[in-house]
Amino acid sequence: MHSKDISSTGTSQKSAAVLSVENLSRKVSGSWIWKNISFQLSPGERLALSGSSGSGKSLLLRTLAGLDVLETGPSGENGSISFAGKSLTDWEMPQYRTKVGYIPQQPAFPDESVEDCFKRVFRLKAHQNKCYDQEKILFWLEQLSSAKTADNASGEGSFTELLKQPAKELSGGEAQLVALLQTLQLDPQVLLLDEPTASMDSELTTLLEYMLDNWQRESAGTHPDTPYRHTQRAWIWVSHNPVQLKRMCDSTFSLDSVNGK
Amino acid sequence: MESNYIFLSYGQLLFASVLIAVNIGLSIIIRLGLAKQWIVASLRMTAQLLLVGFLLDWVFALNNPLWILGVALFMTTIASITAVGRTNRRFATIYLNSFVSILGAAFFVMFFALAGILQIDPWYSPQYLFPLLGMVLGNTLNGISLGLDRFMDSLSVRRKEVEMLLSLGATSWEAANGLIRDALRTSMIPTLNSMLVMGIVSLPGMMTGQILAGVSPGEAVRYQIIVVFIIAAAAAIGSTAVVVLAYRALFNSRHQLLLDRLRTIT
Repeated sequence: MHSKDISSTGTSQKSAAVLSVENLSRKVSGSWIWKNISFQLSPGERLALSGSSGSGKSLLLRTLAGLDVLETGPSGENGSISFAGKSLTDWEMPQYRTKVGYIPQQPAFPDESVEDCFKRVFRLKAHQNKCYDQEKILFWLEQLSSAKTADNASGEGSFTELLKQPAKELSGGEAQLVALLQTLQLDPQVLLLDEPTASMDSELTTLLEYMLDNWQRESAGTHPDTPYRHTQRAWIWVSHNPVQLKRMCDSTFSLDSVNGK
Repeated sequence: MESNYIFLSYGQLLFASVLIAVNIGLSIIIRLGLAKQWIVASLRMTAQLLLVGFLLDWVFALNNPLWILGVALFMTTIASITAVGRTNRRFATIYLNSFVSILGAAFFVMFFALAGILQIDPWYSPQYLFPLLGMVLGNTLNGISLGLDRFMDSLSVRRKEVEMLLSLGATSWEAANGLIRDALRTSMIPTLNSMLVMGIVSLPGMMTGQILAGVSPGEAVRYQIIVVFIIAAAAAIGSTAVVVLAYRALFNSRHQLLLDRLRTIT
């Protein structure tokens, strides 16, 4: 199922996981937030990351996104993350982050229109061989705006208008949405979602869940160069809402149980 | 040339200091509460300048390249500490970075000016080196502190933006170069603005000094032009170096932003 270089590294059990985490520990101002965390994310898995406030869910997602330096554990052990059978240290960070897309809870945008934000992503060296696909964005936006445009013929409130808006003036929910689409257009293998609907109303939340559900079921990585193109899309979803986690996830990793709280 | 130059006595200095009474008087009448500060500042300024005068007289008389370079290095060190002192945030190597940037910028332009343009022999001749170095350091210091402060500030304030770009697959350079350019623009604009109005709004200090010493205005202006170019180049080199070094200190090769290395000074 996997290409040669993947099966040759590590045990066969490891190579089955798309994302595998071992012995991660994190200290904040002298005290351990979590210690010796290990878990795996299988292809197609929809993992809920739960834990009480302050249990370090967001920190864990940031760490998985490669934004934070891996810390040495309490007894000097080195934590490790591997993606597609390859250790994070062997990945070029921009390539890794393209495949493991992280969407922060409160995104921040530059002083540009929403569409320019989508476009600027493709000016990055890591995405030189790809280009902006407006149709793809509109396809997603239509899924999200169908309900609104139906009862509002003037088109007001339609998300297609969103593309022209200055990104800095977006509402919290819209900003989360734009950040998600910005990442989705890179066709990630794994999504790291930090309270993705926290600032959205219930209607948009329902539509977004539906859209993401469809996205996850599509076959991933249509690019022919991708060695793991048959790997199904997966996500790690952080939410305070247990009902949402039940809807959107089929397995759970709890930081509380790890920390014995 | 020195025929109409008036040598000042200490008595004349004392006479000039009477003017500070105006400041003190105003401060008392309008209750600004600055009387004490005016006195302290006057004393400090006088003492510092007299001391520098003695020191320079002594170095001029020695005319020993090691001593001259030693004093120049000391001035550079003070300038680099002062530049950092004006910023609100710190990281471990900030003083070293500031020193390296100022030293590199000053050494490059000073050598270019003294050995290349003015063709002074020897190039470390204190009569030329110290006045020029003083001006170069003063301006580079300004540029460096502005650029450094702006860069560290925008990294903290716009952290989410930077990290979002990183998450989208940007290299650390791609994520930070907008902030770097912004910081450099901030650091260079004062030099640019002062060049635009030079001679119209402001008569530069060095030129004024030369005219007082009996040099014809036409001649003094030529020196001033050279000096402005030197200063502009030094400020540009110094601030670019310091901002790029700060960028390198605050990101690692794994394209991670290391804001925990940054401490805010309160």
